[in-house]
Amino acid sequence: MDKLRAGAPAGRGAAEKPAAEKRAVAEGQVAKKLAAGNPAAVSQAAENRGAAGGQPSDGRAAMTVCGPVAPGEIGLASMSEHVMYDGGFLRERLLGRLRPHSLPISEGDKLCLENVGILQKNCVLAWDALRQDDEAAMQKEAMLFGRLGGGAILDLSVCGTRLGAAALRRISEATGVRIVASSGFEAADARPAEFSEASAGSAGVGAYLAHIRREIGEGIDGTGVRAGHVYAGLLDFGPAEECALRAAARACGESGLSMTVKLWRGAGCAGRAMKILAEEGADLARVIFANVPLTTTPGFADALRDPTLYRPDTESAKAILARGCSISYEFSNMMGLELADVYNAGDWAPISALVALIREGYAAQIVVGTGCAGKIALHQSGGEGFCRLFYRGIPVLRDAAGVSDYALRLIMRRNPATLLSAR
Amino acid sequence: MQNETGRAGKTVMTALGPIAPEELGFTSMHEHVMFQGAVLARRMREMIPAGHGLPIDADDKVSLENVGLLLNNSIMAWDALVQDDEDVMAGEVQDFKDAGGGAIVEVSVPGIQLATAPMRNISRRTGVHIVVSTGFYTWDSWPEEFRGLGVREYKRHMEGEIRHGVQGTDIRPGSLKIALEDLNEMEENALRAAAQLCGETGLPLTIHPCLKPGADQIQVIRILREEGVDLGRVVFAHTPVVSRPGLFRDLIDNPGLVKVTTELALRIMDEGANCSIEFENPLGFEMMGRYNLGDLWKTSGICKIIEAGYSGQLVLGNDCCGRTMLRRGGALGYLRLMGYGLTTLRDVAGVPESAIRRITVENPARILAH
Ligand SMILES: [Zn+2]
Repeated sequence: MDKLRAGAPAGRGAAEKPAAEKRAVAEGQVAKKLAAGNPAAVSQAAENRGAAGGQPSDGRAAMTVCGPVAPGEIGLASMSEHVMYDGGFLRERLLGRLRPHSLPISEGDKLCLENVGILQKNCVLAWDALRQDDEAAMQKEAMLFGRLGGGAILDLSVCGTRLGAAALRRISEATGVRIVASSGFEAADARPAEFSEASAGSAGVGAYLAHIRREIGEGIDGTGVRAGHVYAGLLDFGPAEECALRAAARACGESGLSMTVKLWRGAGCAGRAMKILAEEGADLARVIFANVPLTTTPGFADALRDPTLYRPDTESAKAILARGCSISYEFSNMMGLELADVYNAGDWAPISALVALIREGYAAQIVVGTGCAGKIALHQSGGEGFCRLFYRGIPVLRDAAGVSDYALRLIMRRNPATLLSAR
Repeated sequence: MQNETGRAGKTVMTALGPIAPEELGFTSMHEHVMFQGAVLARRMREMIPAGHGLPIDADDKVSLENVGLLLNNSIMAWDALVQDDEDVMAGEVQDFKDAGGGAIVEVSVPGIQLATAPMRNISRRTGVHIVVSTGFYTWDSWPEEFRGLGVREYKRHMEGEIRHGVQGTDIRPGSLKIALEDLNEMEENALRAAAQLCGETGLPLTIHPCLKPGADQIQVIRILREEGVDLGRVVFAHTPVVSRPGLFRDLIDNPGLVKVTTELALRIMDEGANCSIEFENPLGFEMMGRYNLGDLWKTSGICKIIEAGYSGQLVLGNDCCGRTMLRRGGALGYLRLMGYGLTTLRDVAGVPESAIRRITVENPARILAH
């Protein structure tokens, strides 16, 4: 416990918050077992977070929700997450694509043991499954992650999907897990109205950029919590998304922050995105592409006809890696969309492709996360939460694939520290 | 084989007594209602690596808080491997009814059998016909009293249940079930006894196949023929249509090893027997180095069997065998068949309605009628 407390970040208010007390309230059975069963993991957790917070001395720093920290204090990082999050847009986006069904569930139902199976297969059938809106629950998720040795979480929630930046700081203070918040814009269908398709155009870029600059420089929504990363979601890649991408690229160029570009519809638009990023002065070595397919992506009917069409595939990833960008892979919890014909083929094929990339020498350009994007993914409510990185990610790479300790340290620690630390 | 007229006078024995085969409706041919999976757990728990570090104890109850872990590592808690609550199971069977289900064949037999008495209540409460089974699960699961007996003794036990009722109840079985682990002498004796009863009573015989070399379905068919069984009365459960390595590490560099392989299924059906394939809710074994393949390949295999013209010998089920496979325990329960399986076959793969009806209504009626 002392070690955990010592590891708490030196953010505003860290000293006076009774963090240990909060932890005790949040801790449940699972946490106690983690503590009991993994003494090594607990002490490692403290180590992962560094001996104590404090101002960085080498000029580079990662901006966390509790203030700047030295790169060495990032520790083992999950680089594709959401903490306080509302993913309701996913339901709106996909509702029209769902095949008719008679599953016993209504959109207003709360997630519970009786419907968690239905929602795992079809996460958009109830709003509650797509939200991470309970601060105490999210604090516990972060605490469980820290218990296993997790040092930092990169939260890719932005305006339109983020539920409260102040909560991020409280969660970080209470758990000792570093959280880096993002600024930028989700795909156009998941944004506040003022940044929707209607506001696009060359005049728009300025407004988008001003928003990102404010969140980086002053803080998010008047909380003083500053963004330490930039995000852009691409779905249709229409004018509004292009504006946001250009603004994000300029913000990265001028601030030195890294950014994540999420490819909602696969890697088809990655080339155009990289061209725009370069045009706007972003350093491609500071750009992470998320959701890059690591398998071929045949449609469901075609895959049923010939399942060999579905297989590991590194081509899309290599086209991105060749430009110096990084990719993030998610050891994701089950958030199925079966009724939208997104078929479940397990995680063996993308992991096989990931291992192939590591073997071919790309470990310095790979980061990982769990992509938690709703209650259904959380450890307390149907999934394994951020802990899936430890339950699945590390064991499958280390034990099943035999990935070297060096590559694992790059992927889990050094790459995140480098990417999250700005000059 | 049997056409509508050939079925005249035949009935299906359900937990509530005999009914006409036409009354069955949509039928799941391989299910467990009340179930005890301790034997499976004992077998598999030895394979759990020491120091896995997952925060779950063997005695934990399935809850919202641990179900995510249990879905990926099913054998970590005993509670995940039983279906022991009559009210819960009535709810699950009601789900099946609400989705258009008519009948369930309950294939739990000594070794995994928990309780037969609730079948009548559950059937009354839900209106779903439940066909219970007599027979034996794999030898390692048997109570001591069944070990090392001869054909005659196994036959006498099953005959008694057929005549008087299963597990000391007066609920008579409408199905025979034999599971094979090693096809050792006692399993062979039980198999031969069930085969003889299949011939004498006309009850259908479901066989859970042995996975060890040299005792596969084709070898079992040889034994059944020796006993004079009409193979049209036999259902081979868990018919494999996918081949793949068991461990993830053997797959990583050889993704082509995951394949749809329908050869064995078609060979079984060419011999005249029926095949059951189950849209199982997932059971995970990640911490043992295994991996979840998802449903794509199996569903594709089912499509290929139908395309090859074998829909007249195919039946389906969910094979729910544990709390984490239930709708009330983190999965879809008996709804997997309708909520995923049939909608996929019909709406995505374009399987004609006539074939779906054959597989889910006509074949079960033919097989269960005696
Ligand atoms: Zn079974």
